[in-house]
Amino acid sequence: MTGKEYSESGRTMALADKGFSHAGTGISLEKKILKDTMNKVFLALVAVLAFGLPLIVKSPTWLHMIILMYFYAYLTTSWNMVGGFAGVLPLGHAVFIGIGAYTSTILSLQYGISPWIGMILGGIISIFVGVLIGLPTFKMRGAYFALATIAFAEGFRVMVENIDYLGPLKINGPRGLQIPPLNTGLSNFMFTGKEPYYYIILIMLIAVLAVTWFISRSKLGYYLNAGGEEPEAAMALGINVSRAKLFAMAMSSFLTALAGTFYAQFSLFIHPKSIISLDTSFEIAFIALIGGRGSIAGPVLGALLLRPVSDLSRIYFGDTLPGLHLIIYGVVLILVMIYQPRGIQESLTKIYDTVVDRLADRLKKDGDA
Amino acid sequence: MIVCPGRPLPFRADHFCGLETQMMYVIEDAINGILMGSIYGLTALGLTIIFGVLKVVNFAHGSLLMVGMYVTFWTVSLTGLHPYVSLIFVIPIMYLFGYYLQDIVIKPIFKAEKNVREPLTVIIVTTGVWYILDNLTLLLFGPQYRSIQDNLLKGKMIEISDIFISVPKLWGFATAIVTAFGVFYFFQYTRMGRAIRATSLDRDAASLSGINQYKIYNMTFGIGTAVAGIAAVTLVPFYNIFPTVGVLFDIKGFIIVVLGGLGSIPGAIIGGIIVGLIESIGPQFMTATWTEGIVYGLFLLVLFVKPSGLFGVKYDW
Amino acid sequence: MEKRHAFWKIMGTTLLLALFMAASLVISPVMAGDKVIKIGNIIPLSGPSASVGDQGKKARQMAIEEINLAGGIKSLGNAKLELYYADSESKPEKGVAEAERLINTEKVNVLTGCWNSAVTYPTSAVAERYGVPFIVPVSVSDKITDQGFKNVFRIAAKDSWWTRDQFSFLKDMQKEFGASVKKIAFVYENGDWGKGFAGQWKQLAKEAGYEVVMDEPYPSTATDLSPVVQKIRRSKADVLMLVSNAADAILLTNTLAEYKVKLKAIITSGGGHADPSFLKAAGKNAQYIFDIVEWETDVNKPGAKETNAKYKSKYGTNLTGEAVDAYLAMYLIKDALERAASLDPDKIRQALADTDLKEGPGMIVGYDAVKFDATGQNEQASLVMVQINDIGNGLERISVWPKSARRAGYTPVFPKP
Repeated sequence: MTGKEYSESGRTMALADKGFSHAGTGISLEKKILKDTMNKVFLALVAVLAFGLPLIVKSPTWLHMIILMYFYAYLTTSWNMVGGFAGVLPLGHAVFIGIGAYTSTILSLQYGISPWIGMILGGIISIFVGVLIGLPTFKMRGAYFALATIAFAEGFRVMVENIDYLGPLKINGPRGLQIPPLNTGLSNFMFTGKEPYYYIILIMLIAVLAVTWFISRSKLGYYLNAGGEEPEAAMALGINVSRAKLFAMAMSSFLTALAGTFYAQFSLFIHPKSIISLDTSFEIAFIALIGGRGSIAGPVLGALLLRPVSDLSRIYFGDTLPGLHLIIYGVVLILVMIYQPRGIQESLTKIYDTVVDRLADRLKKDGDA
Repeated sequence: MIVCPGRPLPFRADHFCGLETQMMYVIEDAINGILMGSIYGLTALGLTIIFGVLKVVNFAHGSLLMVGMYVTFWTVSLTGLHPYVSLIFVIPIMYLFGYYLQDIVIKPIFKAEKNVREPLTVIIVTTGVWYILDNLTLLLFGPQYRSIQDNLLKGKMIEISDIFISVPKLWGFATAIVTAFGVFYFFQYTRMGRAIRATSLDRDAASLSGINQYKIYNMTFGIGTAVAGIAAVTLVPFYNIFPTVGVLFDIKGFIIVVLGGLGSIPGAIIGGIIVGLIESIGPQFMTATWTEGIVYGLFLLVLFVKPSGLFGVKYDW
Repeated sequence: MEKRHAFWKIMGTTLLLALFMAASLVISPVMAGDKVIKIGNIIPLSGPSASVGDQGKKARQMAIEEINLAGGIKSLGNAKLELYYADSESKPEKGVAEAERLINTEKVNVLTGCWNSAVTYPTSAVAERYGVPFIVPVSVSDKITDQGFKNVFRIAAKDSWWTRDQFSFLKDMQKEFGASVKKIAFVYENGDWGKGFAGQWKQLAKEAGYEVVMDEPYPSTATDLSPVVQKIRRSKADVLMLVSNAADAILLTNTLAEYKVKLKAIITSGGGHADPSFLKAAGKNAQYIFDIVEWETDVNKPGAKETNAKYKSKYGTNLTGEAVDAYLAMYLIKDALERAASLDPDKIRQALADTDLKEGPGMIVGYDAVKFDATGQNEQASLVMVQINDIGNGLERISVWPKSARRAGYTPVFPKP
């Protein structure tokens, strides 16, 4: 298995969406249309289930866990823009979560600015930071970029932990900032129940997946693809690879910061060790990698599978076997890297395709008969 | 103008502390910085060796150090030997551990990515190893902080006219220098060492000369891990042992190795000393919590200004 | 194809495991038989505070066994008490998530927790939101009871009382032994706890007229604390005040001894210095340190010695102040439930607010009654100053202050020889 194939997965998905996957294999147009329709039906069913979930699942604990699952799916998909499509290894993405969370929280606590505006501002600041990190390091070996992201994340965390006041802004160092649960309402991004949060993160997740899908089929997607594997060839063709990567980095930083604000408004308490931690950055990267970076469905699938493992192993084994979920992550990660470098989405997609294929055959036969 | 240590800022004009005392303080701090720094350099030495040959950053290095510390701790506790004598056990155990870790876990990736210029997946896998080692240790041995009691080295100090020098750190310094020279000699002058260097420069040409590339990698990993074991032995006399002790040294290790230049042996030691000096002299002018930030800042500075570090070779970017 | 096979076997097993755990979470076992009262406990069972969390768990266990053996809650038909534990990992977001789970899924009647003030603070907000009574045995941060919540009841003293008592002690020592103290150094861990104490120390030092020669936060996870110790040495302070967790407490104490730093007294603030592993690891270097705690094994209260002996024979170590608080919390719950005679949260809450607990196996604390003021703070909570010394039986912790609590026949050593 060569490295070429990692970046191919993105392109394969794009081609498949355009319906070219079976080109040349002699399958009739009818069957292709049937399969397209089936794919659409499947997506519709998933959407109905997702939007209808809060009507079935009433327990706040479960909703809480599912919301966090979507949260991580969102984070990993945003990470994927730079970690998957651009082919580098960012290991400090939590820094953007921190920037987003702190920006919106400080602005809303001290100046009463709506968290939604703070959210956008946090995103913009993150773009600057992301580009700042990317500019010098994208030209170097991947290892340097990875180390630089770690250094930035940790350096930022140390800074926030040590500063109580930055000029007029209250940062409160390690004690963190607590948001009092008053003023509920959409404009204040604060709700008593969990359902509104569920829908918000669901919509954010769908949005970010849509953005990823667009990119994968756009020129940018192809530039990144080419640049990841044969940068010299790409540059010879006139593609500015660095610029493409920086653009991807900017988008990834922006989107990740939005999630930071969501988290702050959801849990109402932020402090450096929890949101700017190396553990979080690594968890995002691990999930994306196990799920399958470079693909659209991979990160989401990874989150759906791995987050429950983490939560459940904490609940069941928390007092007898601490840290078990991290061991599981590590083992699964290594196994996936050795046997399925494109991530588990590869096998899962194949299974899905086979099922749809068989079903299409069945339906066609019934239709003909 | 040096602010008088121990006095809260801002500098108070009514206070004066003699220039002599100031000089003594700086010398004392510098000595501590050099000693501690050389130990940091030793911890980073294995990392730089592995990178120099395999062209891979081993994120699990801190965990290997932690494993070395536990091995030393148990050896000393069970046999009552002097920590440095336990090197007899620690070095071979760590070498084999590293050798087989590379063979079983990392080699498959190398084989799979033969044609890729930069095996990023290996970095990912070493991160997985890091997590597994740290948490497995937590599971098996518990979160308690352990340390060796009452051994010959613990807590001893040399006093030279009011300047204190820590004995275990002095031993660490000596060990670091000896190990660095030993490793350097090995790579420059021995046949095995030269074979390893040949592989690092051009793996295909080396294999044409009959060198088994993968065996070389295994050996190098083993050597790097063994060096981590030596570093662990120097730390055990005065430091606490617990499952996540490796994380701090891991990150410091990366910083040192980038500072000194990936793959450079003198670079690792000197990089370590620089970090040690910042950590020792820095707190005299600001709180210890800020020196952490300065180290990161320096790291980023080097990364952006001269990524190849002080002694590093310019790679084909 | 073989590799794929093995891979899928492993993946399949993981998936099955995950599904199994999900299923069993949904199908909770139905309890038949005696009515059972559920107490949820959120404490750190992993992470840096794991060993103290574990002690709290054992203390609660012992109390519940005793209560159930004695017949449970009589006014509720001899209902038994049952403990549910959740690991906070010392992380606030985990504490909050676990609180939600204990309240909504396990349906606990009462919550206790969380040891780390940073975890207790947001978790209390969760309990308040759902109206579940929340008893805080140990966390000292002032703001926990300053939030205006109705469901929070704290047994331990507020941290402003700790710092106040530390300074009163210092003053009394100077008077008793005629030694003069002018320069103080503050060295503290860089977290919520340390910074909170330091802020109050500065204020108190100003009022008392001491000269603060050092105000130094340090990272609790530092690999080398000799620069900090050097600063202490050079500051020529008379008294050093510390706030530390276990690992750095050990490191600091040993390094201070190595550098032969001369101080008239070292006053510490419990936590890491009260941890049993501290005394073991620091050994002789810890001699003469003054530590402030909730409780000490030699306190002059009936039943204290026996309870401690029982705990020691069961679990191998002495009770610590925090363990005693957890133990008392269980008896407090028993007392409140007896008076409430109902599982209605409002009635339990009211019973807790009306508490005036003066006797019973739980009252082995140094003070005489548990009584909550309007903010839910136990007004009677008091502290005890101990000195670590060897009077013939090896190193132990000896109560020295207030004078009424001092162990008979012992004179504190001040200043440090």
